Amino acid sequence: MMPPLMSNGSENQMKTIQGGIEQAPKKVEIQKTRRVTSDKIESPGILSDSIILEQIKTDGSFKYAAHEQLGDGSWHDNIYEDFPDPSGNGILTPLKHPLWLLSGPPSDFGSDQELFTEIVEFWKHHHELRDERSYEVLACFGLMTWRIEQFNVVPYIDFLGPKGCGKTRGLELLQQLTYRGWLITHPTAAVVFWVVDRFGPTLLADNYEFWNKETRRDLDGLLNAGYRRGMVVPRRPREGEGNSSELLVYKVFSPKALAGTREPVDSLASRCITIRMSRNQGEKPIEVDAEWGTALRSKLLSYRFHHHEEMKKS
Amino acid sequence: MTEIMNRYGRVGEIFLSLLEVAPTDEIRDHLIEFERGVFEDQKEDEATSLEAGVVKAILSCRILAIDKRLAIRIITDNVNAERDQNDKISSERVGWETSRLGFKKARMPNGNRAICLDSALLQRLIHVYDIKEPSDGQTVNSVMGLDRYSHDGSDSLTVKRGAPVKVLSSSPTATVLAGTSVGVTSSSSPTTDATTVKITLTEPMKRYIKACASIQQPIDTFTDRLKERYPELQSLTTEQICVLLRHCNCTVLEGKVVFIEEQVKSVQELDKVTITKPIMQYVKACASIQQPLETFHVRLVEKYPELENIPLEQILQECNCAILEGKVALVGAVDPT
Repeated sequence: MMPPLMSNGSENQMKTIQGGIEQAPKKVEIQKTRRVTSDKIESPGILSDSIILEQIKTDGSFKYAAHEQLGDGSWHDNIYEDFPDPSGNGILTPLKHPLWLLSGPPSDFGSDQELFTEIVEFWKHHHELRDERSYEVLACFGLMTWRIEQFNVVPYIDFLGPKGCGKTRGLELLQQLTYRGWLITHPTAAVVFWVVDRFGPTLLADNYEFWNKETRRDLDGLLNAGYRRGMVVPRRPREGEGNSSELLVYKVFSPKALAGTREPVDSLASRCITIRMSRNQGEKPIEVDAEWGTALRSKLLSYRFHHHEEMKKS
Repeated sequence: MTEIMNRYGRVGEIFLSLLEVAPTDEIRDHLIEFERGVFEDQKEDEATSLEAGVVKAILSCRILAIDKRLAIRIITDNVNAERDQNDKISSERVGWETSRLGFKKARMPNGNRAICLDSALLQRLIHVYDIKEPSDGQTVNSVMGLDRYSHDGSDSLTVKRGAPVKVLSSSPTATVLAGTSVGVTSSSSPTTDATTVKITLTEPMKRYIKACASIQQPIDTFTDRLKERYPELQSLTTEQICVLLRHCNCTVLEGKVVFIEEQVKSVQELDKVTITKPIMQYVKACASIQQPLETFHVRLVEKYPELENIPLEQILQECNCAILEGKVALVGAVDPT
């Protein structure tokens, strides 16, 4: 079993997930899909030909929402506390400490257009963007992340602007609306590689230009290659780290968004859709409407289930 | 959608997934419009990048190539023409960029670093970086005026001091000023004594002086540079130099070397000489490497004697060039302030 990785950056995340309950700071163990007991494997969800399983939070507990095909070929949605691993390795159980905001049980989203319109409304309610089309770009980016398995190339979003113009707010809104939106700042490169490889989250990197220089250098590979499916970054484990004779190969494909006051380097910028920001002129809510966000995520999960066929074909 | 991808390269690629999830055609159209904006921004960024600057420089200087080889130094000078002192790019960096752009390395006859000019590659790069080609029809193979430049492509003065001395058409006269006489003779070896300085006012020297007058060079600068250029004039005093100026129909006015009025008038009468295409090409080539003004004027008149009496400013204006800090520059390179 790999030793648990510690992440200070996850502490705030955990507080949010747990409904804002004040807790003494504690070390959070980043969970991976691993064997907990002889037959229990912690996992945030799976996708296969006949089932999509995604961890949700309902009634204060973690469960799985499943969109599965029954023996008669029909598709049904169910809620499970755990689920047999389709590959027969054991029982899948939800992550004890998920890194992103979870959906509630899937709920009816109407049509794609209705959902899109509501997402744009959510953005407009919380944020003022200079270019009206940016709302549509961000809404489509959010929708795309919920169908990530369908695409081989994805864009990055780069929120660019001076301080106090709502870059972090932009990432917070993406955290609400993207699939496994993992909002972080100042991580170590190892943590990012590991989490992206295991969970394929939507990486939301705040204050990217202020991250440790070495971390950024290490993450160059992840960011430059991670917009295209199939790209991997090989690493040699350090002495005494795991089986040092093995080569570690990290999958780096995932949607990503950055926020900063400076333009990223050319190679990274060419993979980004830059959203140029300036200070809000009108009044916007100080806090993100978490309830609305959760409701939207439930609809988005349903949207993901609904587009299962397209993802399967890809 | 594929067509859009091809046209927009990576931008098209990264937008493809968004276009696929867009729920309506209207939204898709908005995204395509946005995508076009991103693409144009990137093109704009590319057009102002160092790579684009290097391509532009190669394009401007290609006329100075020798046997399809263009000195890195010339390219570097051109690249740096519009840059502040602190922002200058080293020739190593320019050399590296040219390699990155695909030009093969080469050497000039004197061993200086150079690139092989590849016209097909250059055309491609012009297209990639959206650079407008000069409209005067310069070609990569043109070597017009190359005999005026040293083999390393440097713009250092190549006036041949040992060149045969021409006797001036105007008869030499002696002028007395402040008790000192300056004699102008046709002798090739200047002789000096305590009170009289005899010098040979050669045609190049005369042209040089006129060039300085045409830019109204400050007398101090003029004196220093004149002595530096013609060591035989080292012992001349300012007064003696003033006498020399008069022999060239120039004088000192408000601390600057200027044409005397008669000369200016005669120049105005003669300014109808046509600036031909080769002249224009030559001037632009010199401007592209920001040749020092004196060097430029001397060589220009050497090459095109019919321009001797044409005001330099008029010639430069015709060729879309100007004077910038004592150098000839393309108009785009002149700081409007």
